[in-house]
Amino acid sequence: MPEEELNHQWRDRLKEASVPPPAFVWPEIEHALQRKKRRALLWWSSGGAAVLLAGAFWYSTYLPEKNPTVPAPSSIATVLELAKPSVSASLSQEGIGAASVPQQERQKLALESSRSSDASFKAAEELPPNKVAHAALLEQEQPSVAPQSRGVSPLLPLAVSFPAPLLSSAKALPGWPSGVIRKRKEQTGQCYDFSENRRAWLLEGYAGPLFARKVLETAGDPEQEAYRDRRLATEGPGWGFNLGGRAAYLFSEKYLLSAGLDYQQFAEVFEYADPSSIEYIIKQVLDVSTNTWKIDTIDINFGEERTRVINRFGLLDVPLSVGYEWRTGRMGLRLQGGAAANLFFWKRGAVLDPQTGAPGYFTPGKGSQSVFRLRAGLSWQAGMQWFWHIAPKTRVVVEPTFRQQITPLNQVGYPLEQRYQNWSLRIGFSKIM
Amino acid sequence: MNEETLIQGCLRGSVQHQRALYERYAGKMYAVCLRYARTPADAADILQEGFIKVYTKLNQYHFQGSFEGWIRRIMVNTALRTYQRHRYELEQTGLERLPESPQEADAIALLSEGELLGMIGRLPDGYRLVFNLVAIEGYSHAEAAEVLGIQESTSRSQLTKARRWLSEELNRATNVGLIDK
Repeated sequence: MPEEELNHQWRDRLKEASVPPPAFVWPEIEHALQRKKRRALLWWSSGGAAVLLAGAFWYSTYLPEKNPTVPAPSSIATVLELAKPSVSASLSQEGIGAASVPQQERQKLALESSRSSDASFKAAEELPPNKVAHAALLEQEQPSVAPQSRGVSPLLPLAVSFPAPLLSSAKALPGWPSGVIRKRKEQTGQCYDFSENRRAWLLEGYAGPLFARKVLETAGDPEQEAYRDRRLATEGPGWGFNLGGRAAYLFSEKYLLSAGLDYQQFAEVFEYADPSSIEYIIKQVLDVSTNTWKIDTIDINFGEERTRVINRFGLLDVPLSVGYEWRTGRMGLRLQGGAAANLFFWKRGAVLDPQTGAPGYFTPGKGSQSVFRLRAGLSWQAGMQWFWHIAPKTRVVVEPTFRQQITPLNQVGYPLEQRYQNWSLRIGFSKIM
Repeated sequence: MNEETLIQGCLRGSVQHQRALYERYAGKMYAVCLRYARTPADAADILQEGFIKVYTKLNQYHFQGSFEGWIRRIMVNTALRTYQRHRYELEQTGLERLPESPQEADAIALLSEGELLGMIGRLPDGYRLVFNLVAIEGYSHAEAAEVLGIQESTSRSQLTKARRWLSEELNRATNVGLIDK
């Protein structure tokens, strides 16, 4: 029979063949899909938090400040600063050194002269309205300068030569010119006035790397020390990330109470090599004379069987803290500490089984051994926050934090008590409401 | 529930629709996996991995061509990747000496699907993969060689050996009267 015809015959018999799959396959698929969904949700929420933080940073750094407690920056003054070389050059032509004229006078002089120039004034008018308003504010705030500056009227014709293209170019820069940003930052150096507002709400968001150190204790049973040593030898340190947010209430100017949500996730490597592994390769053969299956041992392999699993843990906690902060100028330091209660604890991976000594999964629903509790219980934490005001109501914060679990993570009756000491470096923003 | 409703439901992430889709195609796909896998346990792993890919890549199915064919291709590719990952050595068992059997066609017609699948499952890995791709899926030797990363001549040789091995198995079944009906 031709080969193609035989192929057709095999194809016809087997292409539509159907065999019921084992019952355990669907639950495994369902579990894996849920895991993927959770992971996607985590990624999206992390991305969203990053976008929000970036947005908050952009808003607080690049948008004009509306807080009346701080003198608003003068964009016109900044524009004048950009034009300073030209004014100085004009003054030098008259034989008067730039340094000999007070800064305020020069600004005032240039402001007036810019208004006297159609081109320059038009350019100033095209600036955002708030900047023009700032220029007016500058004029009102410096009444003593005006008469004196009028006194240097001989310089006016020279100041009229204030280069209009420079003003236009300042306006034409995308967003805000770097000069404006620099100037504004310099002028908003004053912080939020806590002496007048002795109570305030702060909203804080942070994210950062995390190091998890595992502590295994034998619960007073020396016989379990060998097992503990084997566990420690087969499990590496944990690395991960920490993100969260909290609301803090500041009272009496320096004291804080805070609560929020904190998520810590870390992974550690479990590696085990079984030196006395024996692999039996067995195939079943159908004895057609009796129509029965017989087991036929084909091969035996002796060797080392390696197991490598990434153990993952995630903890969602509600931390409650008290704190105290010192401030000097734009920066400050806060010490805080408190307790955290666990809301959700997920875990996936494998460790050595205390009974058999072989690797066993502890993943809920899949694992062969029960190691961890449903929730992680209580922990205490302490941290030191360094903050820097990038705006009167906005701080950048850097916060090294230590957290120690109080209640062990493992189930009651498990031969070891397992806890984690987590070190994290949180970086984020704090907004005074 | 028609196929489109099923797919739309799965795209929305509905577990009920995912389950219904699984129940509709799992039997056929498990048979495909059994043909490629070394053991039933490996076949179950391939089936699981394949269905997870089906759900996650469902947005790439544009309702063109057979949906069952699309799922089948995912299963075959998953099985082949498992094969490549495990790097099974192509087993050489001196099958060149096995005689050809003229009764092969009759035996194929008489044996049950389960018995035929069992026979294919006992084929050495290299033979089994080439036999599945070329004889059952309809790949050309050039395509099978490309997918498996082997020479086209090797693919031809493996198929010939697979056929002889199966022929011997079928012959044995015929001679002892199992299918002598």
